[in-house]
Amino acid sequence: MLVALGALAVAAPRQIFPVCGMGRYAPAPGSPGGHHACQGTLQAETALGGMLMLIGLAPALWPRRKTGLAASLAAMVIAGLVIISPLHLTGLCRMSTMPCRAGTLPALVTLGIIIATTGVAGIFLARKAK
Amino acid sequence: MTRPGLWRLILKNLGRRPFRSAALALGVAVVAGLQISAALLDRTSEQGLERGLQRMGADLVAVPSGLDRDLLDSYLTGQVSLFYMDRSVRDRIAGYNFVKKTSAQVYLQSLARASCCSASNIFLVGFEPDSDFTVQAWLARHPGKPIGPDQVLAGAGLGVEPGATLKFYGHDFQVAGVLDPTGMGIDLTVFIPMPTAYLMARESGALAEQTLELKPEKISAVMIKLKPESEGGLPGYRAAYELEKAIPEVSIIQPDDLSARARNNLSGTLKTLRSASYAVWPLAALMIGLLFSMSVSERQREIGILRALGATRWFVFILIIGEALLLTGLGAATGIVTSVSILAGYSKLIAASLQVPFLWPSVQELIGLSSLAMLMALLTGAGAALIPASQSSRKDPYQAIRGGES
Repeated sequence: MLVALGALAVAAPRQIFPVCGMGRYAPAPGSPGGHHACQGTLQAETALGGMLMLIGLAPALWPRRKTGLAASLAAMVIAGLVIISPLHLTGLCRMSTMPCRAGTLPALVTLGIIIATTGVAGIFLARKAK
Repeated sequence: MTRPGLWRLILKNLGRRPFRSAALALGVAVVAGLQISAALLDRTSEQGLERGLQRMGADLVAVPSGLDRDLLDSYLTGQVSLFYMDRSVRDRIAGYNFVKKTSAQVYLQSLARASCCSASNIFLVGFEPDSDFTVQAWLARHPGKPIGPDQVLAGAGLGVEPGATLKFYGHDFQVAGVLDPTGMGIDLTVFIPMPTAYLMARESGALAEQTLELKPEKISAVMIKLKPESEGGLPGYRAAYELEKAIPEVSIIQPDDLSARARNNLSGTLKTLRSASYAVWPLAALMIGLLFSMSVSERQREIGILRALGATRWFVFILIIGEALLLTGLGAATGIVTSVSILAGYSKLIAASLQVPFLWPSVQELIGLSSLAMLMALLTGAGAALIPASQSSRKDPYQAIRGGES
């Protein structure tokens, strides 16, 4: 589950709800590219998604209760970062209708909530397996 | 043994079949979610339109012939429409005795990804500071704050603060104020005094990466204020007809055109949401009724024992109705919270894809709409459980215990 959510965190700002200048918002060939303030968010979310995928793999490689517990806790931290990153750390473009604000931000907030919920469920299950 | 409380029994009964309870609550959540989504979309677009039409301030708008749809789309989506006509059109319109005031506007677009422009492809509206209706309305609310030649008014969607500096075609402007949000595309507009817009065009050859071609005798639109009918004026539709007949090079936009266009854009989505909720609603009611009938038949013995232990008919009736109310209430709350969250989070995306205004209603109104959806869900739940509740409460304790044994 965490691996799939990690993959979503990588794919969301690139293809599903792309940031400005990416995916369906990419400039037409030959037209000027330019820098968007949300590019940092794209990189941060890619890194966070990659980390979440690795974290998700850990319980499969080391099937112990503590590994599951640690992975769930780490997923909750990642969930927080997935939400906080575009809002406060890496930033977004200024206009409220830019693709990064209109689509990517709500998608990342939703994804963050789902990852956090999965983390809480993981902790609950790990504690129950005691 | 102590007599179990009503709420404890209700919770226990629902918890006994968690999957069935969850499925039922989910069905109600879908229905309530669809209902509140349709109601909110309708209300947000209506509110945005109201505010947008107030912002427009004009009774009629004259644009070059056949380009009325382009301007309506610009108002709704913020997509730039560039068209020009001769300034003399304004004087001809002003000459009609049913016209009270006119004000010209000129439409421009900032350059894309150019260092001489602060933001790409922004809709720039050159206005006449002394007569423009939008600016006059803003000035009325901010007395003692005149707009200087190098000052602009920015739309709420641009994310700029008063006092910020914006650069267009190499010309620096200070943001004098930010207009109230309308939820429409015009929130992405920057209003520039018209004399400065022409000056900016003249200087652009030297200051900007691309020259702005704009001749001083050209304007894009004429905002028209009509005389009241009591003072010899004409109704809007009549004035529009007279003007279009007399000046064939213009098309006249009435505020109703903007409403009609937004309504047209939204009607398909509203129809789908409403039809889906109307289709699912009776199914949900039927499902609740059936499941409670099943549940009551399964628990006949338990109900009989409860009655034998002293529980009244009313207690049994309330027990069943309470279960239905709790389940539908929880489902409706889930559906309402989820729908409102999705609409709030994705409002800009929804507005852009449906091409409709989107202005969030007040908290009171939101609570009112949510309460209505909740009330409808609760009534459905209670109504659907009414027959099983009344049947089970009327059963004789002995009969019920024996019935439960078979």
